[in-house]
Amino acid sequence: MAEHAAANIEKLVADFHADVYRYAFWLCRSGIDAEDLTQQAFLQACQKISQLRDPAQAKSWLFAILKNCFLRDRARRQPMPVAGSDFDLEAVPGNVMDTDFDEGQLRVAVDELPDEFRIIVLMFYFEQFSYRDIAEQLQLPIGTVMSRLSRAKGRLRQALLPTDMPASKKPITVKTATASS
Amino acid sequence: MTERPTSSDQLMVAIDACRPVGDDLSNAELVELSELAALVNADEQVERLYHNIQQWDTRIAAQITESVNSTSVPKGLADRILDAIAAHAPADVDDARRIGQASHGLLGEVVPPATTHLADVLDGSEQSEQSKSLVRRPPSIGSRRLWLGAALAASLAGLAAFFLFWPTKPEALTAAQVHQQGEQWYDQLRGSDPTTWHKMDDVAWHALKPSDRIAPRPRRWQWLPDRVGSGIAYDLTPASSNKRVFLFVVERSTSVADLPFVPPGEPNTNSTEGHCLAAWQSKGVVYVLVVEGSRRQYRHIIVTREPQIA
Repeated sequence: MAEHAAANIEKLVADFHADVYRYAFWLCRSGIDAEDLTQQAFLQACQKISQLRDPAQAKSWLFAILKNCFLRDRARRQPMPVAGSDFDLEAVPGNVMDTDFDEGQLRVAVDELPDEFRIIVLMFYFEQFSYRDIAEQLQLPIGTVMSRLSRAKGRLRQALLPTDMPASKKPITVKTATASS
Repeated sequence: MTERPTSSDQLMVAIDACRPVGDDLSNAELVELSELAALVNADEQVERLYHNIQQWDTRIAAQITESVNSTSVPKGLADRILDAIAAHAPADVDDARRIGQASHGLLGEVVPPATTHLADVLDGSEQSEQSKSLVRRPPSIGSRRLWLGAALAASLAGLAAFFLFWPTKPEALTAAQVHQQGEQWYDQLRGSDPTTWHKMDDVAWHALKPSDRIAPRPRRWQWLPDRVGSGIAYDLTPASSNKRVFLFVVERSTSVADLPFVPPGEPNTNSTEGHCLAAWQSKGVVYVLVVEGSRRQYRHIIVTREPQIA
C-alpha cells in the first residue's frame, strides 16, 4: 500500500512538476525561489497525499498547496504592505485591441505587483477563478479580493497602456445615471 | 446623467471582478455583481466600459496563460524534488510527531506520533552508516523509492493509530470527552490551511451528512484529521459573517451513555471562550456543533422542531 502511495507521489512529480514550477516562477519572480517553492509544495503534497480523493483534481490541488506555501513563505520574510491604490480609472482606452505590448512587458508588469496582488492576478487570469473562489482559497474577505484585484489590474493597465494615447482612443469617462430616489 | 466618482470606483471594482471567460454577470451566486449587471443593461457607457475591460482581460488572460505555460523548466527538477522528499521525510516525521504530542496526538493529517523513524526501516548497516555521517547524500533511485514508501507507510500506520484514539467501548467515552474532543477539533480547524477544505460538490461528503437539526447549509467540508473516512468537519459559517460555525460529524457504532439524542436547547459549554459547543448523537453518528458567539447565536442555528418526515 505504501509502495503504491510512493508510486503515486512519483507520478505526481513526473506529471505536474513542470506546471507547478512554472506557476511558482510567476509567483516568485526568481528561478531559485521558484524551485524551492516547488520542492516545498511537493513535500507538503507528500504529507497530505491522503487528502487527494480525486486524481483529476491533482493539478489544482497542487496549485492550492503551492499558493499556500508561497503565502506562508512571504509572510515569514516580510510583512504584507498596506496596499495603496494608485490605479487610474481613466487609463482604459476606447479600443484596447489596438494597444500593443509584448510578453516581456507583461512579465515585468506582473513582477512589479506586490505579492498579495500578484497571487490574486494569477489566480484570476491564469487559473480563472472567480473572486469568490479566490476569497475562499486565500481566506480573505470578498471585498478585499475585489479591491486588490481591481487595483492590481489597474496597475497592469497603467504599465501596459501607452501614455501618449491618440485623441480618438481617449479613455471612457464613467458616468452613471443618478438613482431616481 | 450625472458623474459619480465614488460610484465609478465601485463600478470599476465590480467590472474588474468579472472574469473574461464565462458570464459572471448572470451568475446568481456572484451577488456582488448584480448591481453592475443592471447598469450594463441600462447604461450604454457602462456597457462599453464593461466590454472594453472584458476584451482587455481576454488578451491579458491569454498572454499570461501562454507565458506561464511556456516558462522553461530547469533540467533534473523532478529528480531533485524526489530527492528532497526522500531527504526531508525523517525531519518532517519528527516535526509532526512533536506537534502531534503537543496537541494530544490529534494532528493525524500530517504524520502521526506512533511512526517509526525512517532510519528504523533501513537495514542495520545502512542505518548505522547514515547515523554516522553528517553529510546528506542524495539517495539512489532505488533507495529513494524505499524512503518514499517508508515515509508513507509511517503516515498510514500513524493514521491507523489515531483511529484507536476514539474509544470503541461505550463506557470508554463520555459526553465530557466528546466535548473536549470537539474543542480540540475546533482549535485545529479555526486556523486550518484553506486548501484542506473541499467544496460541497465533491461527493465524498455524502458519506456522513450534516444533521437535519442544523439550520444553515454547509459551505465546505474536510475530513477530520484523525478520523479520515469516518469523520467530517463541515464549515457552516455564513458567507456574510466572520463568526464561524463548525459541525463535526463522526461515525460511532455504539452510543455515548450521557449524550442527548437531539441538539440541546442550550449549549453545553458557556461562551467565555467566545464560542458555544453542543454535542448529541443519532443513529450511530455523533454530532458536535461549535458556534462562535453567544448562546443566542447558537439557538439560531439549532432547528428545534421535529424534522419533516417525507
